[in-house]
Amino acid sequence: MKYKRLPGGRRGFFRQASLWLGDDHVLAVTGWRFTEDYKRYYYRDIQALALARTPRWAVTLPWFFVALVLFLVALVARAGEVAWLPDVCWALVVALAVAWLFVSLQASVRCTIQTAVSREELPSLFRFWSSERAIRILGDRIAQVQGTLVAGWTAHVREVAVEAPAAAAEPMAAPLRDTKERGQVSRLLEMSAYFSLALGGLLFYRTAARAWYVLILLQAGLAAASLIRNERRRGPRRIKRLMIAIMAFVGLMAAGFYGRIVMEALRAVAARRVPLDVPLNPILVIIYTAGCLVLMAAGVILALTKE
Amino acid sequence: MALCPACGSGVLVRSFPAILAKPEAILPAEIAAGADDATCFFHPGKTAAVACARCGRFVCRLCQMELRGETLCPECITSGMAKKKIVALENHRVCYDSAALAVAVWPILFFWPLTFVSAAAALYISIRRWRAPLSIVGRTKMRFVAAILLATGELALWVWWAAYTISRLGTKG
Repeated sequence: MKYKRLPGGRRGFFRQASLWLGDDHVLAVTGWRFTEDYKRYYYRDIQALALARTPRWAVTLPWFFVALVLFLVALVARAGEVAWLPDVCWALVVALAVAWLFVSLQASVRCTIQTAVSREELPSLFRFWSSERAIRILGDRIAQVQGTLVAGWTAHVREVAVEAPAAAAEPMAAPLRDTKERGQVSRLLEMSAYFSLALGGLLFYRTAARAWYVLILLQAGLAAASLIRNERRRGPRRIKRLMIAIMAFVGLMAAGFYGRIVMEALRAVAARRVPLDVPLNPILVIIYTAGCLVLMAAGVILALTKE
Repeated sequence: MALCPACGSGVLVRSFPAILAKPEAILPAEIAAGADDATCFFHPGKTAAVACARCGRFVCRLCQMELRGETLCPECITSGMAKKKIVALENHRVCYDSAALAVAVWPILFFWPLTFVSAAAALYISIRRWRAPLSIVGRTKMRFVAAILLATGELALWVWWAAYTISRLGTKG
């Protein structure tokens, strides 16, 4: 049988997933590097395809390799004669990291396929643009086999689905909304922590202060732990506040150490001259300092809000 | 995209007529065998509905299984899965072509002295598993070919290095 590949697909460090269109079924392929597991969903059995926006933190190989190449170029270019090349590469790495965070938070989805006996996730579909295209192509093929639903078909389904939980709907509404708000705030915090971490790494690799490296590593660990706790709902409870304290500290330290450099850079920008005797990239220092101050403010606000 | 009333996230759902189909109920009275009826091979008390397309056994409506236009009995389905004779039932494959290529490439990237062993291993896997079925979604043998070429090149370089070293040692001696 000949298969045609659907948009989407996931190729991570170890796991891979893809979706293929066959004559009478869609084939979901998952597996490790050297093995493949298959699941077939026949067009005549598929009841629905659902796509829900949700954050997905998947690092695929293309993202990783682009970042790795930029990182290596930046390292090699430090010894070269082109002075601006390392900074451009670092800026691109940061831009890539920010783009990845944005895509992971805002343009990611979870796609499920439903049959009469199962409801399963399609792991190859996790970005919005490819998932939407895949669902359109797959949906059209299923419609060729099954036909389409007539308008108003939901009427009798709704009678069954909504009546049963109607009594419990009101008490459940409040905790659901609260969970949602808390989740978004936490995710914002984690995202800002990673952003701060990336910039910290960029700036401090030039200095030999080991304390900074320890702090950055600590921040990374706490951000990762907080992420795991949020996603899996487990882990130490006070970790978020500790992370806030660390970020506030980083913000204060950066403002204290680099205030002079920031002022010098601002003066240079105003006078339209190249700043002299500034050891660190002024634009990155400005971004980092501002980011840390914003984080510090966010930390204080979050620490004062109720859990 | 609609918004989920519970969590507020964007949701896109596409439904199909199968969602309204009710499961077919087979009542015991409908398939109970009469005195002159042919009976199911697996259920002597039930009337036969069809014959298995592979083994010819009569099976009842409970036992009949449709697979790509054919009606099969549970026995043929089970043995077809176990012996991997029915491609439509295969749910797992090992991709030896990817393995051979990885064994040939990874040591070059991470630890090149290992290529002395890995190149031989890649050649062995490629030749030993040349006829093994590849991915079900249709691949060519390009990965095997690439692995063989790369592994041969690595081995040739090792041989050249060994010959060069021996000749230099001979000149010094």
